[in-house]
Amino acid sequence: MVTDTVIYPARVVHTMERARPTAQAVAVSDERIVAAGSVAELRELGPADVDDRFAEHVLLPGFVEAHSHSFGGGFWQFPYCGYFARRAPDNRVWSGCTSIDAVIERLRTAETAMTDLDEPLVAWGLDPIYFKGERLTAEHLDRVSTARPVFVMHASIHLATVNSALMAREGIGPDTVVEGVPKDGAGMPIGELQEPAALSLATGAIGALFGALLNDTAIDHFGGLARNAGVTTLTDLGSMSIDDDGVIDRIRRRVDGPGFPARVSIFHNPGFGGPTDLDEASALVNQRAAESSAKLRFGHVKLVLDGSIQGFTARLRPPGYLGDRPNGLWLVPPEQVVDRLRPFHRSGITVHAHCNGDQTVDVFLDAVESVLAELPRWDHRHTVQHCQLTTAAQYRRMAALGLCANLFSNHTFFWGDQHVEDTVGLDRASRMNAAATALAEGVPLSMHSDSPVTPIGPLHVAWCAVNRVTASGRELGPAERISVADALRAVTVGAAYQLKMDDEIGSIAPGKAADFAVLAEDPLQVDPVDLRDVHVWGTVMAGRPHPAPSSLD
Amino acid sequence: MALPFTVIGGYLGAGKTTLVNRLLADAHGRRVVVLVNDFGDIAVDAALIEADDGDTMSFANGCVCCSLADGFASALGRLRERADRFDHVVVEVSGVGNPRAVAQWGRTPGFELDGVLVLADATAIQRQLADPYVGETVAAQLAAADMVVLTKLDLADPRAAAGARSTVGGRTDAPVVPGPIGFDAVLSVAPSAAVSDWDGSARHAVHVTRTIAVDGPIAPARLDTFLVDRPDGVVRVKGVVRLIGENTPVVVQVVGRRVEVTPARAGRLEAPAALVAVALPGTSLDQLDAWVAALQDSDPGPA
Repeated sequence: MVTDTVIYPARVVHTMERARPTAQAVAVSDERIVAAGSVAELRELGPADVDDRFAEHVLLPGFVEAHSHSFGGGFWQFPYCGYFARRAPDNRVWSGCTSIDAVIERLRTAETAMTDLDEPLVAWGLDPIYFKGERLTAEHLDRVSTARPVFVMHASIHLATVNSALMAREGIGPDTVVEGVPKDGAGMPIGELQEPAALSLATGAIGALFGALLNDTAIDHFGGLARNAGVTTLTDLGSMSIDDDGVIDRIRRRVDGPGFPARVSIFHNPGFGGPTDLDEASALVNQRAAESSAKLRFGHVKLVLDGSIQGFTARLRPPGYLGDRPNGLWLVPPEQVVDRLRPFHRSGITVHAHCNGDQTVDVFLDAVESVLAELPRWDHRHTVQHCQLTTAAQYRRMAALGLCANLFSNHTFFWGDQHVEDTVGLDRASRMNAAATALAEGVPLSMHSDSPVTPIGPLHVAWCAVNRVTASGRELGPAERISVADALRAVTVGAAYQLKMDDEIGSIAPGKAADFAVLAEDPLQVDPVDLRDVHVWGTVMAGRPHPAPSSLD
Repeated sequence: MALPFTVIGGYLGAGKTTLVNRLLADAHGRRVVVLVNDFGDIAVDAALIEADDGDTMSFANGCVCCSLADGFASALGRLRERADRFDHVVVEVSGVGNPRAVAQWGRTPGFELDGVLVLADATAIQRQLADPYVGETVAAQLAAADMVVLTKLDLADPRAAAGARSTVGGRTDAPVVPGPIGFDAVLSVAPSAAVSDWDGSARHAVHVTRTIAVDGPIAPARLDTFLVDRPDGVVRVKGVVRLIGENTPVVVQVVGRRVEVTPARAGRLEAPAALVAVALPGTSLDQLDAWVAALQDSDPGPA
């Protein structure tokens, strides 16, 4: 069946291709780009319809989010009560809750709408690091309801705050001996549940929350979040093991459906199950890769080596954290990292490793170097994810080893002030997420949201890398700023490169996928300070337009 | 009845898997469920394996091995449903894991934390403690232990072994015990093990075990003295006693340095008052006799 060619004129098309960086229109046929150029040039290629719906818009390659998690879509089935405003899958913006009173108000509104008396009220996104001095407790949440269990999951996912009704229902009280249930002077739990064992005591709420994380609605929401942000390719970066046929088939049905607006690359995380023999796991990954469809991709692996800087669980080289804090946690014994890497490397698989601390990066670089000496391999594109405290010397090693960097540039805004004051101090905070250094040393670069840790939004991530400004407005490491052009490249072709998809997505060129981000303003013309405010109309994915629901914000 | 929950921690190569395999091969009648990260390490004679579905391995002796691949909440949830089939839960912590954090799962409903055992390789522990990458991790493991077992002593020369013992002793309040550890000291006393008197003449027991009858209620102060002042070799004391002035009997649980005396709950209220003590081989029998006698003295002691 031949699909007619459609020419889309635009105010400007930015191709992210050196040969022809801009165009005035793009011609699309059969889910692919035929060519970019002027309308007249494109007409010369053959019969075509002109569709001028984007005539006043700006077209870029569809953004590529190379570090996100599908359970972000799951969370959006529950009310959001985080500090910063956030855009929901239906494109409505939820305002931030900037005080405990605001959190209570948000939860009260949600509670009033609930009809089932037994259902717990689950909310998410709370980050107490922004509430200096005051700590959310059961007493606050009792103002939401004294009858209905209330459970607020913190942004770290390691803590929750609950109300008295929940504690009564689950038998959490003065006799509870699990560590991680802090008590007041009278021996009563204050309502915080810290770490997995204590969290597990809230059985009803945990069941409701985790049961929703990978249902059909969660997947649909994941797609909606992408579309609203101009993203046409997402990752699920190791939130699961890929061995469960039932789960994979369900995801596949949803993603392959015509309404789903993005491609998804699902990474296998051996820490979440699947064959413990990693040669078998490699075979599984390659088998799934062979089953990939145009929209649902497999073939890559995620390893997690340490924790987070703001959680003090990343592994740091001297001088370590501020104050007398102990160093962070290894999730894999350092001497075994090479053994976890080798089987996948040998099987031709690309491995992305979460390394937040610089000591962790050292361990990973040593493992990569060792494995390459044993098994030389061209173009492996193994990637350091987060890579936040990486030094110039480490970037030089990465370049020599062929490693890529996917930076958590959003940290500058969301936790920049906390890094200065609490975690690593001003000097190192200024050097965090050193995009300019990475580019100068020749390391292939991308930048990410780690959604739901921060919202899916490549324009915001790019804005962070370009401006280097914290939430309080302080400039943090201005010498590491990069240009808008470099930032946009990092969230298009740069990210596609790390997924080994750069031959098909990430830039606008003949034969590549007709995946576009459709914007209301030109990000290369606006004041860089306004980059994150560029309005997203929606996307085109495989030639099919996906408008974001128009919002009233 | 809550399932006793024992945590086994220690860095890579300390001998956790060896201990688990030894336990699964012969638990002396105890029905133990062992939770491990990797089935691939289980090396039990195939003849003993009754079933293996990838998540759960069942053995002919009534023991079961479960995978932690789906996480603790999931594994323990499934375990709670079948709790009446087992006597004891043993959880193997990963080499870089925090035994204290894992121990908290033993305090969730359906379980009763029995003890945190940390293994230390006598030939490697000093080097590991000094390692810039893992030193603090290993130190934290030792600090979290109720009992530390020094392993691979057969591979260490006496000076190295003494050095290891001394170094480890300086990093933990827990008793440091030479391996291989007998399971009486780690779990409950085995139903099928011969319960010996202090003369250690039992065939099975590596350690010596004694059941101490406690007739009549005793003074709380006397119990405290008994538990705190016990001879160094006594690594385990468990049972139920009645106290003067208390209506509810108390459950006594001593594992290494952990001493817990808590009111008995339903299920233990009618238990006969007795304590089972386990002592390391080599503990002075006279000292042990004197210790037991002080408890059983017919004079009820200071009120």
